[in-house]
Amino acid sequence: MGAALLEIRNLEKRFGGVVATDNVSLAVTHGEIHALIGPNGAGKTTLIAQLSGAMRPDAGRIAFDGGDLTRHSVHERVRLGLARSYQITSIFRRFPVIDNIALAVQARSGTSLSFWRPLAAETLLFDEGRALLAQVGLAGREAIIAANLAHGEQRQLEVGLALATRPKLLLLDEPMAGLGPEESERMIALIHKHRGSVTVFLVEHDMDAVFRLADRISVMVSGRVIATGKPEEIRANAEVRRAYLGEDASAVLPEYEREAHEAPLARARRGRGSGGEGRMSALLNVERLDAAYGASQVLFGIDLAIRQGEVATLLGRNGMGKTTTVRSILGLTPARGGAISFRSARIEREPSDRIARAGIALVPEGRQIFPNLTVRENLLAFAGNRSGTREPWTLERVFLFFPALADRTDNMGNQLSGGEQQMLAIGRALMTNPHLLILDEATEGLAPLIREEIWKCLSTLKAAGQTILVIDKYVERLIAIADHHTIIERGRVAWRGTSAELAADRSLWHRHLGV
Amino acid sequence: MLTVAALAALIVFPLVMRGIDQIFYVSFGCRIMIYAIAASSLNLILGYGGMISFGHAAFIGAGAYVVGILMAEGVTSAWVSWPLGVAVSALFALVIGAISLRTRGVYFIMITLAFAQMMYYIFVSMKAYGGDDGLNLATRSAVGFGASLKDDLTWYYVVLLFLAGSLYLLHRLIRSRFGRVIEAIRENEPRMEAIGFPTYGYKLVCFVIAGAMAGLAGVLIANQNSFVSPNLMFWVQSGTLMIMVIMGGVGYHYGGAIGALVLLVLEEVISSYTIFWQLWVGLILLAIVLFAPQGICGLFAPRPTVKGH
Repeated sequence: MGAALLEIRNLEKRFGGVVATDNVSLAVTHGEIHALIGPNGAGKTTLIAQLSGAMRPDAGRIAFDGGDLTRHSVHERVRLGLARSYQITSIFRRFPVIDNIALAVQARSGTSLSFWRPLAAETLLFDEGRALLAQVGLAGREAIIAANLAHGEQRQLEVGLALATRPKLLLLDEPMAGLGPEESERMIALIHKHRGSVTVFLVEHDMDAVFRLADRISVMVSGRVIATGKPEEIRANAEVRRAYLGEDASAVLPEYEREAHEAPLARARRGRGSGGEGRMSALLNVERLDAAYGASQVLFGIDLAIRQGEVATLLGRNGMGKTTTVRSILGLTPARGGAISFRSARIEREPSDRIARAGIALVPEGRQIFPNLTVRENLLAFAGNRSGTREPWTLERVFLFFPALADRTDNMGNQLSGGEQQMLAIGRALMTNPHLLILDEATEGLAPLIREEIWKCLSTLKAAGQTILVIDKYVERLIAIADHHTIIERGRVAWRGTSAELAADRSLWHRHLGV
Repeated sequence: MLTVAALAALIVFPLVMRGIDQIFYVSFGCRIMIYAIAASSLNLILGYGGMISFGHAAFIGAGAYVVGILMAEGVTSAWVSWPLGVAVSALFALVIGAISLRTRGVYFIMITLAFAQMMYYIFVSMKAYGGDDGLNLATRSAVGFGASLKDDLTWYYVVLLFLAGSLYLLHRLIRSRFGRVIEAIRENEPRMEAIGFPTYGYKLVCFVIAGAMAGLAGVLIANQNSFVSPNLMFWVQSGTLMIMVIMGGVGYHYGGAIGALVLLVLEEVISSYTIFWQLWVGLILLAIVLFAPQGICGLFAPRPTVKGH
């Protein structure tokens, strides 16, 4: 093992009574890919913030490349060779792609207190920018406005911006966040390509990526590093499995994999068929839906029917129109054509508040918790019995359903971990007692254990008769829960069928989902 | 092309006005051009830098009072008082900016407003230099070389020269390395830090440049009116400059200038019909914000659409 490039010694950070980073010591060796994993709320983000300089530790030291940078500012650390990427894409959205990357080159080449000479004349900056873009797989995309890139490409640019600073150590904060299977492959390849030339500290929930990339893995739980070791050591570590990997170790442990496949298949066979038939009695009926953002049409004649008590899914790669379909149902993106009826009433021209009050509740992508309201307030602010059920959801029932939330009643929304926020988002939707519950990427960015809890909670809701529409990428789990599936590709319905049919035809997964 | 045409029109304008014996409009044109400089300087920090300063009038007042006070003390030379006026405004911007830029969002708006109001009250209480009543200037600054700024045409062309110079400076600045940094900080400041830019320093430099340019407008306005008063830095003045920038186009090169032109002309025209001109100006501003959210310049050169949030 070589010398340490980054050495964290006894780092500590408290927020009030909560210890977010509890005496953390950790060393990242020159040239390695060192992954940091752990459940949501373990303190990984807080640790990254302290390493990058965005947050000051209360105690402890950070040594980097022979110097101490505990007190250095963010930009000073970047100059010294410690750059980061963000979990939530942070690019210059309104700038062309090439201008994004050229800025990072500009930052390290000469003074920018130059007021007279046109930047455009500095061809060197842009040439180097183009070369860097090619390195992260964005060749040919230079002139596009960054916000208009596909999500996966934005993630590539995100990492590219950090790479462009020519770091010695690259902190990657969940680079796989929100990526579909193919995009994940591209990102893994991108990180792999830089192996050796740059040291990487990788925070990630995608265990497949972690175990394929990492030379060493550290596991963080409740602010402490409970284990550091080679991937196989971590895999075998009982404490780690109990605290983090849980039953979803399938991605990591081959012997679990078979089981995970078989269970859903068996369930699906038992599941009743439902597909196009029985349109008349559908709770929600979407017919020939067209939608567009400005001049570019995104949805082309989407059909979707969900009956009372069913669980349906929308599947497909990123950027294919799943979220737009949901937005159109909710009246957030106006339908350009087609019809949407909900409980036999046409709603495609209704404003979104009326649609919501008619009994459709959304658990939005990214959770969208109100950060300045407490857990209780988040739940109570929109409570109502919109479906007029005899056993409505109440505060007590939500807390019974999500015991983790009960302990945090008076915490602000922004003081919750990702998993707690997700539970709160679901609880908030349930408090409206909707006829139809829609979940958009509700397991995104969650640790495997927490993800399993969300799946369990969906099964429970289904058993209670809740009608649900789910968007997610974990096809196997969805097959186990849902009745029927709609695959969307480039704004059109590419396939529709039951869980049994989807489970039986693996080629579908390949073709449309990139699994 | 448009720039050349506009410049030509501005050069010919006073000659035509004198020809038809409407010399008042030459003076009115000067006022518009001075406010165009002031609004452009605000547009630099507000539009390009994303720093919503609600105290920009303070720097105009500082520049104007340097001219006024020096003249009261017998120093009439433009070569002394004008550079000094600009320098003093820059110094004020340095101090106010150094403190204000440590805050963000609403706090930044409030603290810049507070500083400007503080200066307003300081000058109100300065009885030696007119206090509340302001200070009358005996004459316009002296430039030598046998020229006199009291001549309306000479004065007009001096102001035009400064406007053209300011706008050209702005043009170069925005396209330079520094300009790119400023715009990128507006777009995403945390990321700028994370790729290695000390953003605070760049913002402060930008704030000082804008303050100096506002100081120049102040120097000119003192000469234009032959009068300075604390009203120059009252918060309503800062608000008026903001309205000009919003009307003209936030972050457009000519946004400040177009805004100054449109607002002052509207004011002039409508107030000749009704004493309730502010109501109509308000309605027009409302219409612009609703139907042309990128301002008048945005109607002619819309920014590329960006999807998502």
